[in-house]
Amino acid sequence: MNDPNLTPLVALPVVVPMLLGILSVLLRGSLGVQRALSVGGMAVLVVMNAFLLVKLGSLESGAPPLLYSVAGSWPAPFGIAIMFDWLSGLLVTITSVIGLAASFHTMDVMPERNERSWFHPLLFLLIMGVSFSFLTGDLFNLFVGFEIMLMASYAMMCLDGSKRVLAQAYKYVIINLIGSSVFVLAAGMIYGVTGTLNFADLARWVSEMNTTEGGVPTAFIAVSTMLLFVFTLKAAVFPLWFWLPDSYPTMPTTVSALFAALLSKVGVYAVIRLYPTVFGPMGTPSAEALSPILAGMAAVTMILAIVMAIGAHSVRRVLLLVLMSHVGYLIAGVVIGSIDSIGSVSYYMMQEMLVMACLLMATGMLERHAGTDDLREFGGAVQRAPALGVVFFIASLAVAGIPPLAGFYGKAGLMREAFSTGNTLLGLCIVVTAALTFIAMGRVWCAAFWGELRGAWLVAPEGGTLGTAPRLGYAFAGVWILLAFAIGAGLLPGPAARATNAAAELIVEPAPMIDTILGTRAITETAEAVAGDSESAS
Amino acid sequence: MTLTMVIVITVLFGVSVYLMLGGELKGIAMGLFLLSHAANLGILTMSGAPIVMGANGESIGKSAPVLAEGGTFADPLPQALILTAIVISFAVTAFLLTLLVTMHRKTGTMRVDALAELTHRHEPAEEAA
Repeated sequence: MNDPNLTPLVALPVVVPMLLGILSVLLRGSLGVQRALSVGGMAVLVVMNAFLLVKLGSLESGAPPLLYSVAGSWPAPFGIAIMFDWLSGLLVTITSVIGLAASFHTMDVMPERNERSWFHPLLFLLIMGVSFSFLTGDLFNLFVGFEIMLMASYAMMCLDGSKRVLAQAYKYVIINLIGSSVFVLAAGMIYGVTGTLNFADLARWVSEMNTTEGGVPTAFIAVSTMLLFVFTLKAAVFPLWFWLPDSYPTMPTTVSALFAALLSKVGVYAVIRLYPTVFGPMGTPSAEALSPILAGMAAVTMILAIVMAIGAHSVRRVLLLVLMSHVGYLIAGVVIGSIDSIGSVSYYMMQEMLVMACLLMATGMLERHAGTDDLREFGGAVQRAPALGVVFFIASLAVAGIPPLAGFYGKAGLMREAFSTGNTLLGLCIVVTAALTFIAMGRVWCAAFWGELRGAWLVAPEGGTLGTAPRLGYAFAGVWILLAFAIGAGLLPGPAARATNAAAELIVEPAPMIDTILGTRAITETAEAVAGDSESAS
Repeated sequence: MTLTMVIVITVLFGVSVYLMLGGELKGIAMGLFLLSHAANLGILTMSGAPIVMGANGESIGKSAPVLAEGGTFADPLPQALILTAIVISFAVTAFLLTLLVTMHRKTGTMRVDALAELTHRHEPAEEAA
């Protein structure tokens, strides 16, 4: 019980949004109260998660950087574990920051009718599902987290209820249902093969099997492929990305910002968490079988998506394609597999979540000004909305990876690791994608904001003069919150990189994690082994 | 027993894939329900057979993991997994059916190709240009 790593507080990021979501359902009569609850509740979540991060940072130096809790005080592989390490901790904190920004942004941008139809409760439930997926230490509970998140996302997607939205929504629901069925089947098979679903126990099992002759059974590699299919489907990696560019742009922009920042990253997170230790530890037959496939998928995702982004005509579509292309970076970093590359990838993923949410929210605000996001129909926005132009400009530079913004450090680290570990081809793809990203983002900024004022907003809205601009004060608060965190991560790369490197160390070399979580079990096993030895001796 | 289950699961998977490849949304929905049944039966079969594992040769699978070896209880964990999966798929199924009914009311069609035409007509002529 004196374990400094054991604390029940790690369940709070899941429990609190659930309770707030229920409360928000009860308060549905008054939109004002719901809005206040969303902003206040999300702020509480941010502070609480930051507190947990501080607690994690102040662990004594000998202990591994990991807080955990096991349901019902059962020892770990039987009780369900929740793990709060630097990776999941930072991701959960960023999730709550994005939730806070979204609850500000939605007030100005989403039509009130849609906002009334359950947006605020769904926002809390989405945050709960995403946080649970990040924090869980158990494969089956990852599935449950995914489902909570997806259920909220299905409903959020259909808020509008128009023909056009419904005709896209069913695709999203069906594709995710197929993914879920495969996930649940694969989780059952993993249990059948290994006898456990706990991440730490799985990592222990794989490392033990790899020391025996023959390594892990072939069945395990086959089931790993099924799980990677599910994760890459959710992350929209080529060739499983076809559903994303169709379904995301039809949603309200707040919702598509949430989806783009959170949902696709949960799939990537699962790969980062499980691939280096469970599915394809470096130098094992499973890595030899799976790494080339993943590397190919990552390379094609990067290049193809960014080329499509340069050709696309609507701002949202460009941003979503850039986002998909950068998912390729993240997968490439996992394939490279060194501590530094996983660290860079974690760092990059976190800044990308903030910046992409910010850009999509800014696009929503732009649409309120211009009435459209089609680049052929408007331009010169900086003359009408200079403040928005500044936000979009900074965020675009962050995506393109211009120092001193945070995108630079992640990309630079990833490129260095790719070339120094001999993955030259992957490294070249990363460099080319970085250059093309700059072109794609520059093109959007030039077409939408720079140059002559043209487009629908030259027509004055009825009763108003040409100068009438929509009220976007709250929405600005939202995007600036995101931008402040993104800029902060860029200006203080030292602490941020230390945290992500600590996260990567624990992922690539999981022995301290396994010992911590399975600590009690290791002791009983030794005791049993001793007892068994004395029996056989007598 | 395992063989019977494998045949049942294969048939379920086959039928569900056949249904999902059709162009009718009702059929696709039915295919999805069958897929989740097949997955649940798959879990039950997969984790039912005892498998000898590990360096110590201990067998894990059939009996409850808490009892380690020698217990005469069936492993409750796959059943707990299936129960959870059934509840989740129940909720998602309800949602999908509601979505399809609403969609049918608004668009008047359940055919995938008709819906695709509908969305393309509404989109700005991005692909056409």
